[in-house]
Amino acid sequence: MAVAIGIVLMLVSHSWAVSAGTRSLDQTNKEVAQQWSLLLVEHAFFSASGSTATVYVSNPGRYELVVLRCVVYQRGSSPQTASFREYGRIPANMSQVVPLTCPVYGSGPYYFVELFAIPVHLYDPREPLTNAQYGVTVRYDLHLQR
Amino acid sequence: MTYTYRGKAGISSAVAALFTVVIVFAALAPTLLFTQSLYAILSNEVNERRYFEVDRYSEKLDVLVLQIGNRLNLKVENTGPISLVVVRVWAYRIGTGSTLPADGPCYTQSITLNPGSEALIDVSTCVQGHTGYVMFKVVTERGRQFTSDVVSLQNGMLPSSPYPFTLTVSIINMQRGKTYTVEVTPLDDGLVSPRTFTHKATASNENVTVAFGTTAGTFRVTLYENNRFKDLGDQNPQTVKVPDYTAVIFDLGRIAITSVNLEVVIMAPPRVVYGGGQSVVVVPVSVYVKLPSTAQEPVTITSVPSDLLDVSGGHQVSCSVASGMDLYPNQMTLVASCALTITSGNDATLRVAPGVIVGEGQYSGLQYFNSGASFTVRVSGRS
Repeated sequence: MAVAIGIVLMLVSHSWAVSAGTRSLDQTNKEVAQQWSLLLVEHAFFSASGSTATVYVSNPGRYELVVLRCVVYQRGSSPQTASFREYGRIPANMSQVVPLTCPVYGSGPYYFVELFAIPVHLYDPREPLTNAQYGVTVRYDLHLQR
Repeated sequence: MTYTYRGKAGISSAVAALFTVVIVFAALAPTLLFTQSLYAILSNEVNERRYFEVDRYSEKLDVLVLQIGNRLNLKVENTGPISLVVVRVWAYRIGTGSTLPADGPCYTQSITLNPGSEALIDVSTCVQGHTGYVMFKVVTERGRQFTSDVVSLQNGMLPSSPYPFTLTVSIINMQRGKTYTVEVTPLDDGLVSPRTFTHKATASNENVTVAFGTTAGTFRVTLYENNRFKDLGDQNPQTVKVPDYTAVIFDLGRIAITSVNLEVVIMAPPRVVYGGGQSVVVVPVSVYVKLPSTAQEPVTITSVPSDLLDVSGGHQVSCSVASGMDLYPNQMTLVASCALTITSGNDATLRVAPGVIVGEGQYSGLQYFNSGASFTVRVSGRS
């Protein structure tokens, strides 16, 4: 009887240890990925109509990023709410600059470009909000001159 | 063979002890060691990220537009203390901001520059045939951007005049009906064209910016109002050395610029789990400084002490700091990347004392100081 209980306890503790280790490893990987999630707006300008802006972004970090939000809104106003969608994937190590077409809200000379991105390996296309806490938000000043 | 009750209990105790030892050594101890190694990895990554940020802010690059024969070149010189890699060059129109060429960057080859070294980048193809004002932007591998002066191009080349640089002079808050004259006088062998510019203000608080073509040299810029010298204290006349400085501003506004407090934002995880076998937990902390929107001028951050962050609760914190950044009203910048080492189950309150971060107003020269800020990291135990 004692042997049977011991074996059961041993199996239970072993499976707990494996599960706890896996969770810790997963958490650490996500935190490291967040540390090295960097996004750079290299250049941005408005389209001729002014309803969209072309935003060129690159990634000096270590992990490929996926941009889930890109809005251009008037400075001083509240950031626009927009559902997450995939605007583009930005390869790591500045290897490529990616043009994004982002909607413009409001009118006036001064704007913010606001981007939200998370590492690709943490992104679930079916559930974009999953792991959103490990994302990075970037703002860029944009001045409309016509 | 018969066993007594005490004998059976003894065997059960021995078996239980054996399984306890097996559970401890086969499951708990490896878990503990594994968790410790994960925290060591995370701590190492946090440090590497800090070093990356310090390197990034140490980069310094001078960008100069040169016409060599019929080719337009950028001369890029690494004037910082560390090597850097130029990964892209952008050319864009002043005004619309649209790129030259229209489909993206101008130059995409990597160029490694050691401290003190320089390179020429041929950008003729990008601006071929273009006439108008253009600026060039150089992007480095660590994600910094450095810009050239605004240059006026004619058919993709600098004007075939002896004036390769543009000195802009802005007169702000002019008085309606008065005539303003700007005179640019070379103080050495520099050349300028035209030497004077006259404008009559047709509205109250009107602003105007004019451009003078110059060669490299030192120039005195003087403002006259209705043909009389305008007394603006040490703001008139102004002496500029081109190409180090290519802009002069005469602000005629009667509003005196006053200093405002810089706002400090501490960013850290609000909650940290401590215990569960690890003796320390390292969490990243970032300290940002924001120039309030009520500020009347841009501010350069001149001093950030490395011990700007205090922590209570018996914990430790170490920071890498950066200064020299320009802040415009309502803009925020990172001034310190820190690592907070949690050594006990006490909450950690991070504080930045008022007055430790110093900035300097770009127009007034006034000193700007930070207000105090604090942030508490809740530490909860894990059994």
